[in-house]
Amino acid sequence: MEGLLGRSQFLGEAVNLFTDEKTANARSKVVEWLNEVPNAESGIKCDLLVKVQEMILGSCVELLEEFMEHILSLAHDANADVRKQVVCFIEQICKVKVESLPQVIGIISMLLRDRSPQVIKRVIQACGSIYKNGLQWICGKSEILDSAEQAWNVLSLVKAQILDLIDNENDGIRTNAIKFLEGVVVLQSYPDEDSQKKDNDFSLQDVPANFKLVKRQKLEEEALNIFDILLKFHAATHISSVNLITCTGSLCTIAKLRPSLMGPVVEAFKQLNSNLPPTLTDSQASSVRKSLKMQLIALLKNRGSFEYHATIRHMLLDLGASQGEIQRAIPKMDKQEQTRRQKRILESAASNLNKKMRLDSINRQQERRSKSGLDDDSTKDTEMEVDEEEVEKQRQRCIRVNEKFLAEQLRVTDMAVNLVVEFLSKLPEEAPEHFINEYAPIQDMSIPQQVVKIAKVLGEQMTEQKIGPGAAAFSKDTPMRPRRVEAMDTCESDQPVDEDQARKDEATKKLRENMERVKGEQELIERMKMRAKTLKLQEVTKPFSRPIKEKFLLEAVKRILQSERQCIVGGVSAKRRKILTVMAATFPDKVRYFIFDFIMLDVRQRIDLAFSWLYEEYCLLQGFTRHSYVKSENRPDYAYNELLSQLITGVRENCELKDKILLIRRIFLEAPLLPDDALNQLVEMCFSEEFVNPGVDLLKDLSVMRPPRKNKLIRVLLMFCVHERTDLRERALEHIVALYHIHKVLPNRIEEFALDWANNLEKEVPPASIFAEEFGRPETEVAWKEETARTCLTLLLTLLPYKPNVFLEKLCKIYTTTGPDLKRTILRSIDPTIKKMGAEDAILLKFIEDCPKGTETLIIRIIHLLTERVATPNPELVNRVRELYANKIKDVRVLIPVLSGLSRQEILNAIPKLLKLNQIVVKEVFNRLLGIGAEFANQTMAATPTDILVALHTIDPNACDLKAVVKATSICLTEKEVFTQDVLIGVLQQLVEVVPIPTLLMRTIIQSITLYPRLTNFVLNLLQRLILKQVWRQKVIWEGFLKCCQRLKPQSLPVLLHLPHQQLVSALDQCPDLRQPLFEYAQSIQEEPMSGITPQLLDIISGKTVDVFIADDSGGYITVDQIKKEIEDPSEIGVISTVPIAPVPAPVPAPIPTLGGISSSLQPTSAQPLPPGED
Amino acid sequence: MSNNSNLSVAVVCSSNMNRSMEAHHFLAKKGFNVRSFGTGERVKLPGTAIDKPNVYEFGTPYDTIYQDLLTKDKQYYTQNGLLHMLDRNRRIKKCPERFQECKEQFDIIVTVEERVYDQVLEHMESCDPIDNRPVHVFNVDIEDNHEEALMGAFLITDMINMMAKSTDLDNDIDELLQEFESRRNKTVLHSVLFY
Repeated sequence: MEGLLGRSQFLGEAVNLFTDEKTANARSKVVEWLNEVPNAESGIKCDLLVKVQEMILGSCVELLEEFMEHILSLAHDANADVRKQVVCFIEQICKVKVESLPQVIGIISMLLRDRSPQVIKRVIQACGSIYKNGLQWICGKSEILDSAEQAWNVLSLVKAQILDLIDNENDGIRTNAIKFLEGVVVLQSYPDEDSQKKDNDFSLQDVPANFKLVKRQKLEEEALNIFDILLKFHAATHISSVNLITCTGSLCTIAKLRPSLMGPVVEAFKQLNSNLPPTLTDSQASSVRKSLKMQLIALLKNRGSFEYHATIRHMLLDLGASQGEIQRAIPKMDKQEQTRRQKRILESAASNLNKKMRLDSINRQQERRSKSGLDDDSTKDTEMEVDEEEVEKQRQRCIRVNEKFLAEQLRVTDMAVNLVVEFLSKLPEEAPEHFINEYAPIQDMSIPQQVVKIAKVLGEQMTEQKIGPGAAAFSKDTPMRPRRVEAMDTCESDQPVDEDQARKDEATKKLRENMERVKGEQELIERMKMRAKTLKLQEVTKPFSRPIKEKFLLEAVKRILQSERQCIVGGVSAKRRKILTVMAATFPDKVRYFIFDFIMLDVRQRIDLAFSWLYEEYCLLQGFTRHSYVKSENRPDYAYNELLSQLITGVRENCELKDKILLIRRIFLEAPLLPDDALNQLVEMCFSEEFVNPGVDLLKDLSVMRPPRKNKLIRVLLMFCVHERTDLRERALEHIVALYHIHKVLPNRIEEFALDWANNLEKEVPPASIFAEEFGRPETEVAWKEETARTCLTLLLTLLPYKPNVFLEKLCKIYTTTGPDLKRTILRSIDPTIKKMGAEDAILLKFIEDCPKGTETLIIRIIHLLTERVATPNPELVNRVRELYANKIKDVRVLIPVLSGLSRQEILNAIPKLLKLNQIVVKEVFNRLLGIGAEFANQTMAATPTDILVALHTIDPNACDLKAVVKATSICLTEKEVFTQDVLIGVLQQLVEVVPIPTLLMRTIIQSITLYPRLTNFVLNLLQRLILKQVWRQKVIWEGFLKCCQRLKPQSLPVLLHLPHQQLVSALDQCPDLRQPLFEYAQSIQEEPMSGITPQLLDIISGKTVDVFIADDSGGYITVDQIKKEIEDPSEIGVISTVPIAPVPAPVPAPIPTLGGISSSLQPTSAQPLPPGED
Repeated sequence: MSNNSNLSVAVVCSSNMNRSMEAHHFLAKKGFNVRSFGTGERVKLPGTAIDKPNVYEFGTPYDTIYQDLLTKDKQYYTQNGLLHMLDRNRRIKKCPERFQECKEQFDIIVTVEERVYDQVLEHMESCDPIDNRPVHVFNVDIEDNHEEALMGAFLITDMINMMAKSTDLDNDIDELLQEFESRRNKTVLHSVLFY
């Protein structure tokens, strides 16, 4: 402004003053208005905004910067009208001061996604001018700033967004989008001479050629794409009438402004005219036809439509326009102009056709040259065509004659019929391509009119061929023309301009030749036929009623469905599938269900079709595939979900188990989306007996392969893990472990769940939350049941081996807090877990070592489990247990499981304590110690059975109750397999040496003999040794000794004889039954030398001697001197023997007979059975 | 009563005398934002004979025409109702307006015969685009006499009322029109144009 006004300083100042004042006034007003805005009602807000807009943009643009932000912030206003007003404001800004585009374009982009369609429409409308101004602005800039580039990018994005909106659900939005796209196409294409001129027009021409940011070519391509989209949209069958009218208008506008695109537009109109969308009502159809008529007249007025006049005229006649109306619309053109245009049409057609024909024409040219034999007149050859006029004259004359002739002939009916019949057989099977391209049906004309037309066309063709009566019009030979041309050209031959012209003309000529060559009489006749047919079709046919249409549709679909085999044989099954897929996905429900039922008839074979369909639905849902005409009332994913669940239900209900498993698996693994409904169906299926395993397996696979659904899937699996049904639970647990440990799917979630459920056990009574339909336990229980408690714990225990530090701690905590019943349950449930972990597990060992308070029983159970069926317990474990025993748990039971790992001494030390335990436990301990039963068969114990038995005998009676020991020895001795004869020999030998003699020795000896009668000799030997050890000194043992002798008589008799006399007397007193045998025995060996049987002894045996020292029990050992009396008559023994008398002191001990002697004498009787041993 | 002033409505007949004014009157009473126009070259009113119509330029105040006719043949023009009509018109607005000369933009344009509809369409097409604002054009055929004009005014008011109730006219128009057509047994031409 200053520069402009700077001419005169005075003037400048005055104006400045004036403007300053004006600006100041304006600012104060704007400020006032804007202050009112926040508290105003929406209607008043809009009014205020209008005022502000007028003030700023109308007179004081310099205020824009200051207030723009404030006004733009109103774009977030809750009221749609206010937002619309803001859009209007932005639109005006871009008109008045387009440099502000970078600041406002963001708002435009945002408002384009507004929730109110009214606002979106207003934005699209505004975008028309914004885009134009923006493009103009960006192209006018010499250097592009970042902000400008960014603005341009956003603007391009907005354009793309609007392009998308052409498929919007809202009719009005589509309408506006079409209009906007029209503007884009016009802006991004080149005008030509026929373009309707307008002020302020901007087109691709005005875009700088080498512009960095905006490439002409790209824009043009884009425009052509958009134009194609518009054409497609225009041709859609289900387009609404408003859209159709709008689109027609837009296409017309484009054609008027860019005549180069006239062709497709006219073609589109022609299509529309012959095929109005079936959905239009009568009045809509007439509205559309009316608008079409108006647009066509508008096109006709444009000079660019010259080429299409005939077509447009036909259409207009069809739409009910009068000839006069049409004539008025056609622009006036002089002859010259007309020919020029005709030529140009040919040229453009030539350039198209030439591409195809180029090779051909070159060949022909060469041929011609070689024929003429003139190498040097190639230039003349081309130039001779310049002389169009003469040829044209001849041609016209020829045509006229031919035409007249043909018209006459064709009017004869016979002739026409003959022609048709003649050529009918020569028609090719299919219409040739060029025919299809060029063929235009004859519009309604009277028969004479048609005859004239055909005659005309045919006449021209015959002329080209130089046949028919008109051929005479041509001069006899061609040389005429070249000569003339030569004469003309001699002076002009070196002018390049003419050469160009010549080349063009030659191209035209060639084209004409080409075109005419391909046309022939046959074609013409065919054309006649086709035209007649088409004409009738158009006139006669009426749209079917809806039910009939639907019926046909359904039947067509049915045929496609039934053609399954044929398609496979014909190798087009893929295409068939594609067709069916699209139909299934986009056609009405009837067709849909029909196809679905078809699939279900043999779902195994047709599952692929089902999948194609499913994917198609998915593409529609995601918007990968678009069908602008599909309007759906349902949610976008409705169709997909419905199909999927129907498919699942179908398979579920109709298939055999084997197929069902396979198909359900495929469906779930291959479906592109798994909505909740489908998953719920799967879950439901898992409950059926037969589908438990495959179902749960599938759930697991899905949770690995479908990460987006893993939350839900894991939840379901976890639910199964605590389900009441065992089969379900076990399968689910198995998979959860895999998911937790191997796949690591949501491990935290699983862990949390396990802990949560285990926590339930800490409650006094089972919490209500674990009783629910989904867990299969609808009834609430008031107290813990073992089964329920186990279920709560099961997941934790299953997972425990994989993360013992967390879970073990938890288990401890729970164990310490629960009551005895639950404790027992826990003890009973941990078997598999602990065994799985094994004794090597460091954390478990640590746990044993730590032994938190309250978990002793648990630990003992664990140790038990760890040592079960193990030959040698893990030394580590043994160490821990040893420590534990030494420091924390004084209970000897801890040691039991690891006995086989302890040293001999430790075992022997532990035995007394072990004996104090419960009888059953003792039995088990001995089983362990002695390796009895399959359970302990393979273990090795540091203490041998011998050691153990010896140890039992040597237990300090104070440390342990004798009864317990007795029982223990009995247990030992019953195990014949362990305590064999040899073992017992070893034991007894050791025991005999023990001082003092173990109390139970004699008992054991007796038992040994009972078990192994063959031990008799050995025992006798022992007895002798015991005599040496003054066995009588211990009462119990002495009694045992005697008992043993009683048992072993008669072999024991020699041993008895070795007793000192006093003891012998005592023995015989106690066991009178020995007296007689002994006496007899003594008598029998008396005679033998060295028998040592003295009469005195015999007396004692016979009981005749009265022992005076009977009361003497001081020494026990009675010397010979102490014996005073003798028993007189041994024969009386038998009489007296029954009378118990005090024992007589034994005589001087006889030398012990050699063992060999005794054994030899005993030998014969050793095998005799003994009475069953006392126990 | 202003039940819906958001829609701006134009009613167009050929002379902006009878049919458009009747509808204008009605719609204005209902509180609509309405204007009325004619599309003819001139304002034509029937004269005493069929070949002697009264012709005025658009822009001639109704009052002037009224006075003119009053002076020409008061009794005749009172009898055929022209004076009454003009009297009503001059209470509504000053003078007949020509549609083609109006620069204002509307949401809805209603025409009363096909010829007028065509003229409106033609005019709109020939205009240079301004801002691509869409406008719905409807045609309801109404004969050019007092009784039909009255009926037509009812009809148009009914239609506009219905449209005013829609929250998204662009989207609903197809259904609304179909409903209206079947209810009233009338054919309505409809098109969308852009300013």
